[in-house]
Amino acid sequence: MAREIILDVSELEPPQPFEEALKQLRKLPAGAYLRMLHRKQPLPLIQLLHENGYVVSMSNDPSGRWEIIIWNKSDPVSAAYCDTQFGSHIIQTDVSSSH
Amino acid sequence: MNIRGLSLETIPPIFIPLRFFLSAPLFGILASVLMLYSGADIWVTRWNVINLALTHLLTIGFILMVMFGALYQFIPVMTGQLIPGSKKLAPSIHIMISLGVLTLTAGFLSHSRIFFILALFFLSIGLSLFAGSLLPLLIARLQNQLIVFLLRILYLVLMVTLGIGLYMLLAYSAPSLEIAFRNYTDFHALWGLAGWIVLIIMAISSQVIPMFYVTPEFSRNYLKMLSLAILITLISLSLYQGEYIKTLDVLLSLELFIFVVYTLRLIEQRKRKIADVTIYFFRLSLVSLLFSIIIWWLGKYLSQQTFYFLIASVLIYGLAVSAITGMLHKIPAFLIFLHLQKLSLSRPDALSLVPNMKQVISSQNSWIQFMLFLLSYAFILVSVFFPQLTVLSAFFMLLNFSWLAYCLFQAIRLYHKTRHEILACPRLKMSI
Repeated sequence: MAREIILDVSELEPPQPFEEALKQLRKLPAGAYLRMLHRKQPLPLIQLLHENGYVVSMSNDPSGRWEIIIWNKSDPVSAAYCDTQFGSHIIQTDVSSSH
Repeated sequence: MNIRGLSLETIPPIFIPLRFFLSAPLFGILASVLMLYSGADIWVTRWNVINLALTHLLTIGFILMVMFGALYQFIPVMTGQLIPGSKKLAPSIHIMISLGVLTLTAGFLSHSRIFFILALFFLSIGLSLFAGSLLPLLIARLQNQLIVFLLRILYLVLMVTLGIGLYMLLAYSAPSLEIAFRNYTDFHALWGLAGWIVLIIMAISSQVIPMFYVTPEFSRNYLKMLSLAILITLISLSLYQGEYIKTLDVLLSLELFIFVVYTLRLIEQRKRKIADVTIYFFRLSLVSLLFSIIIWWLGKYLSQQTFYFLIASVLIYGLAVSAITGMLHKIPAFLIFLHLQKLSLSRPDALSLVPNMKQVISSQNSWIQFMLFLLSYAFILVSVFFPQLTVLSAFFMLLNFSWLAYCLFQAIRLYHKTRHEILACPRLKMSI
């Protein structure tokens, strides 16, 4: 089972949610994934994560809050766990490593 | 999630929106210089050519210019797709609009037909290219978002305003057609000021206020109904000239009043109680809308010229230029931050080089901007009654737009310098 790191950015003003997410991801240990709670869909962040080898799964609850799960594609432990747990909401886009 | 499988392009190349944002204060500077040059003559009649030139430098050169840049920036963030053809078309559209507003100004000042013909050419092409590239997105089945609804109404209102404007420009360009263009001026002004400018502020508010100030979201149904009501009232005011026209006036001012009160209350409920200067720009903008309603109703106690000058100044400078100036202190800084972050992701050594937003444009510089804006705004309003103060108000307006240009250009300089430093760092593959 992978370790979960929770990051609640739902009351932060831009660009703090973006900054906090990157800060957490830069120090994400092997076997861990990030669960981010947000009031919006952070589309620019998702684009950047896709371009940099991360997988993103996103869902929202009736109150409108978004739950964004992020894990590193190349980390076998978190990838195996997250694929099973959150695979149904993975965001697939055409964006590849384009820069 | 229905962005599955889409080409997620939410970050347009930075110079697509920035070229529009950077040009805007330059047109503001030009407008100020014109006012400085004209002095008190500007308040003699609203048909004064300098007046017409100044109005269009601000509405097309500043407001429309920023609106285009903002749409290039925000539509991808909201819909996950770039405006079709934006990479190729945006530079041409920017040049066409810039040349269009410059030749229009030259036309008003020189009364030379050739400039009007050129303005008609540049503006029709620039505006049609933009309108054409936005159309597929607006008629597509997008998520049922509030902003998409507001943009559709805004688009319609802008097309009517610009359509009437271009028709009048045709009259200037070809006097032989004998178009009685002055009949359309009031409709052009009504749709532009009470429609386009108000709806821009409504659309910006609905996105920016909840996002940056962490307030509750705007009620979707409420803003949809309100924007629709404004559209219907504008159409009725344009087509109907009967005895109930006053009722329509009351209705329009009531709609605007409700919007102001609702939005100010929303700002009061914000969770981030920080003294951010842009929130003061927003408040000033909304209070100006309130002020315009009061002027509208006290209009009969003022001379017709005073009424026109006051309401146009309050709506153009107080409502639109204020909120947009506030936004220009936030959005470009955010864009620069975002693009530098993007660049530094694959270069771990570059992380410490990325400035935060406050380093791109400092709070102190934003406060100076607010003070200069306030000063210029106050002097403009006072000089409507005391024309001898016009030169002073033009001077403060010049300071205001020059300061804005300085803040934006030094932000760009920082962007180039930091980008260069980041690119000099070694790159790692597939890492954040």
